[in-house]
Amino acid sequence: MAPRFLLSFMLLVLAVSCPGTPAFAHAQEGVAGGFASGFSHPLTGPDHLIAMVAVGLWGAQLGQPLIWILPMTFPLVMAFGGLLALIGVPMPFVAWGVPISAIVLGLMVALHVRPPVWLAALLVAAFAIFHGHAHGGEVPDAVNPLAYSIGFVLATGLLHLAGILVGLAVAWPMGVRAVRACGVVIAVLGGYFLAAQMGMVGA
Amino acid sequence: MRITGLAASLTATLIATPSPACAHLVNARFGDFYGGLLHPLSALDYALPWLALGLLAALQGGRNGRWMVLAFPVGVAAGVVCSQVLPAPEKLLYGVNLLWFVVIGLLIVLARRLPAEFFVGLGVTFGISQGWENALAIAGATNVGLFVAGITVASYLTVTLTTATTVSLLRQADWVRIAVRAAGSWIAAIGLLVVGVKLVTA
Repeated sequence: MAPRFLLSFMLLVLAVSCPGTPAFAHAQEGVAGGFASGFSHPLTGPDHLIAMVAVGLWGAQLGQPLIWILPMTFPLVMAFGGLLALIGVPMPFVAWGVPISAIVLGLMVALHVRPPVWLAALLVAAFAIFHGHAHGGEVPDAVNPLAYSIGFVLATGLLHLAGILVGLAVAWPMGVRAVRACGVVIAVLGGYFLAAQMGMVGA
Repeated sequence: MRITGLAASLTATLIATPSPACAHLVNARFGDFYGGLLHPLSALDYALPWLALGLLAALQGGRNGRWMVLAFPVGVAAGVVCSQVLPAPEKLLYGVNLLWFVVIGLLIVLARRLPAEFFVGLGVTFGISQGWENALAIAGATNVGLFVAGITVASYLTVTLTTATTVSLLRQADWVRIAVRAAGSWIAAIGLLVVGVKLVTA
C-alpha cells in the first residue's frame, strides 16, 4: 500500500511541476556548489573526519545522555570557533589542536574512559573550538556561505551519526572490543597527523 | 491501483499536452500571489528558519503549537505591511534574520516549554522581520495585496505542515525528539557561521 501511495504521490508531484510557473526574483547563486563544497570539506580532511567519528563512538560507548549531548554540543561549539576565526580572534596551536583531539578522543574510546557528563561535554567542546577555528575561516570564500555552512554542519553531524551507529555495537561483547579497537586506530592516526603537522613525517 | 493509474494518466496527459509559455503571469496580476508564495520558499535564508520554527512549535506541544499556526502568518503579513508604510532598515533586517537561526536553533536544543505569551510574541516578531525582508523584493508594479496573500499562505503551510509532521513523528518514537534537538543544534551552528560571515563582509 505504501509504495503504491508513494508512486501516486511522485506522479502527482511530477504532474504539478509540468505547467509553466511564473518567474520570481531569487537567483540563489551557487547553492549547489556551496553546499557540495561545504559538505565535502569535513569528508576530505582525514584529521577532522576521524575526530568527528570518535565523538560519535565515545558518545555511543558512554550511553545516555552523552550519546546525544556530545554530538549536539560539538556542532554548536565548532560554529562558535568558526565565528571566532571569522572575526579575527587568534587561537594558538589550532593546527595541532585538530590531530590532538583525534588522539585524546581515540584514547578515551580505546580506554573506555567514563568521566562525569559535564567533563565529557567540556572536553568535546574544547576540541570543537579548534576544529571550528581551523575550518571556519574558509566560509567567506564560498560562493554561497549559507549553503556552504549547511553542507559543512550537515556532514559533520552525519560523521557523528556514523560514529554512533558503529558505537552501538557495544551492545555485544565482541562489539565492545571492536569499538575500543576503533579508538586505538583513531588515536594512532591522530598521532600520525600530529607528527605530520610538526614536520616529523611526510603528510 | 486505480489511483496510481489515474495519476499516471494525468501525468502523461500533462506532459504530452503542449502548453503556452506563461512565465509572465504577472501581466495577469495573479502572478504576484505566486511571487509572494514562492519568494520565501525559494531561498534557504527563509525556508530553513521557517522549518526550524515548525520544529520548535512541535516541541512546544499542542496549545503553543496551535497558536503558532496563527501567530507566524499574522506576523509575516504584518511585516509586509510594515515595509509599505515604514522605511526599510535593510542591514538591520538582514542581521536580525540571521540571528533568528541561532535563537530558534538554541530554543530547539533546549526543548523547554515556553510561556504561551512569550512563544506567540516570538512567532509574531519572527514573522514581522521575515515578512518585512521578503517584501523588499516587491517592485513598483507588484500587487501588494496578492503578494501578502501569497507569502501568508506560504508561512501558514510551512509552519502547519512541519509542526504536524513533527508532532506525528514525535508520538511514534522517542529518538525523534533527540533527532529534532540535534537538528536544532545544526541550525544554530549554521546561523553562527553565517553571522560570522556577515560580520566579516559587512
